[in-house]
Amino acid sequence: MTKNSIWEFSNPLKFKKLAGILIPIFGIIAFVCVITGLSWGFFYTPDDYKQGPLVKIIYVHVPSAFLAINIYLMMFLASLIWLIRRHHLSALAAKAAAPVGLAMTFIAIVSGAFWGKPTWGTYWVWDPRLTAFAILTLFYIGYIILWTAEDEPDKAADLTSILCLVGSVFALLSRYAVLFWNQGLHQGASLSLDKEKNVADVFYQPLLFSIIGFVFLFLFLLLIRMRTEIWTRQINAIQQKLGK
Amino acid sequence: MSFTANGTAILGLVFFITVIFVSALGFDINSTDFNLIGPSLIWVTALLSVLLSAKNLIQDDFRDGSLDLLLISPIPLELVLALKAFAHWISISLPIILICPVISVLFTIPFDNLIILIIGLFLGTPALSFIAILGASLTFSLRRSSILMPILIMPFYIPTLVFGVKIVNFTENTNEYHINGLLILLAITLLSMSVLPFAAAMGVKSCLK
Amino acid sequence: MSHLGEHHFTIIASYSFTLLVLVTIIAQSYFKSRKIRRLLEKQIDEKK
Repeated sequence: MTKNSIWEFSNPLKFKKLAGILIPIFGIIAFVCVITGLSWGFFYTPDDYKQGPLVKIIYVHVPSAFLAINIYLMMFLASLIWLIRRHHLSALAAKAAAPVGLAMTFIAIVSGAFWGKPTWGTYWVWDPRLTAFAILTLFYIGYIILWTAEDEPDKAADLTSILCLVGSVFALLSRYAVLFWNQGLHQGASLSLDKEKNVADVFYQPLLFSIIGFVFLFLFLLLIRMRTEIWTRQINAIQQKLGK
Repeated sequence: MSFTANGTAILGLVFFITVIFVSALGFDINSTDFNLIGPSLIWVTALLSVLLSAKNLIQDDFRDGSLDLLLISPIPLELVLALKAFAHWISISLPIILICPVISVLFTIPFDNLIILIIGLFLGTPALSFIAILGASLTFSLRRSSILMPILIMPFYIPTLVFGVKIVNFTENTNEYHINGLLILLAITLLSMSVLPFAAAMGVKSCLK
Repeated sequence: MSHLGEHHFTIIASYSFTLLVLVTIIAQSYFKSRKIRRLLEKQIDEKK
């Protein structure tokens, strides 16, 4: 009768047990990978012949940008699951993930700015990719604020889920609008992430460590924050019982 | 429903004109770039006009209890909200579009660009109203909703704004450039009109449980 | 060659900013977690 699918972890009790085990593991993996990736990348790779050592910023820029987008995607899925299946843990997952995503956008934007100034002469430019990141930052901030504006947890989950869903739809729409827009015109020089993926192997391996490290860091933080949310709900439940 | 908004319409228009005047004075009138800010200023002010006049779209009905009645009525809530958004567009954006030629004199916008500007406004501003009704549906029952709603809604306005302004370009004048942009504005509006009433209805229902 | 040194500063600055943000979010998550856990234990004790 008990199904052994991933849905059994939507039970908060089971989730807490799982989290208890996974949190230290993920934490250690994250720590090791990030430190490896960053130090290897910084100290042991040669300087790029064109950009000098500056290209090493990709070791923080690429993972953070990658996560900034994918965390929002995860929030979209979690919001969808909440609206359809009403698993509380799903809504909590999205709520927990948002601040981490926001942190990632900060890192991505600032590291990009540091990279941009010496390389292309400017901290910021209103090209599609950067504008998209600015919009993403605003989406994250709005989402987080909306959670704080409503006390009743289910209603807050509903409102924020709708916001996230519509935001994702708009993000997709904008992406295709820009692609459509660029088709007739020449591809302008943009701070494209694709360029970095074509870098030589010697740069690529530390980048892999860095990306994996950041992903595990996200999972580590996500589990901690979700557990905190569950505890908070428990406290509220107890207080309500005491209040009666 | 929409005819009680006529007071809002005049207020909205006066707001628009006032802000344009004041903002324009904030720029250096003698600089050679002054005329270039016209379209941008018009779009941004239109945006603000829509945003600031939208917060009571749902809240008034909520306060006097008619929102509950709307839920029970045989007309689907999605349609009601869509009509509200549409009425809002008629009362706020349409006057702005109509007065655009007059305002454009302030910035000596060339006729061709003015045409693109007006068509762009026509195609793009309905999206603004529909996005606003989504914002209203999510925030009408929250405290401090009047400051919250603009914060939530602004990012959604950015694509429409960017494309609306971009196509009113003074140097590139290929037809394809303008048509592509207008198509995008239309796409954003059509998507908003088809999807957002459903999302807004969800928001209203979850607040009224 | 001296302008390479200037770029090293930029890299260090961006890495430091990254670490700053990461440490902030980790610390906030951890300390809030601890605070809530203590509160929960207190509440459970009071309930008994």
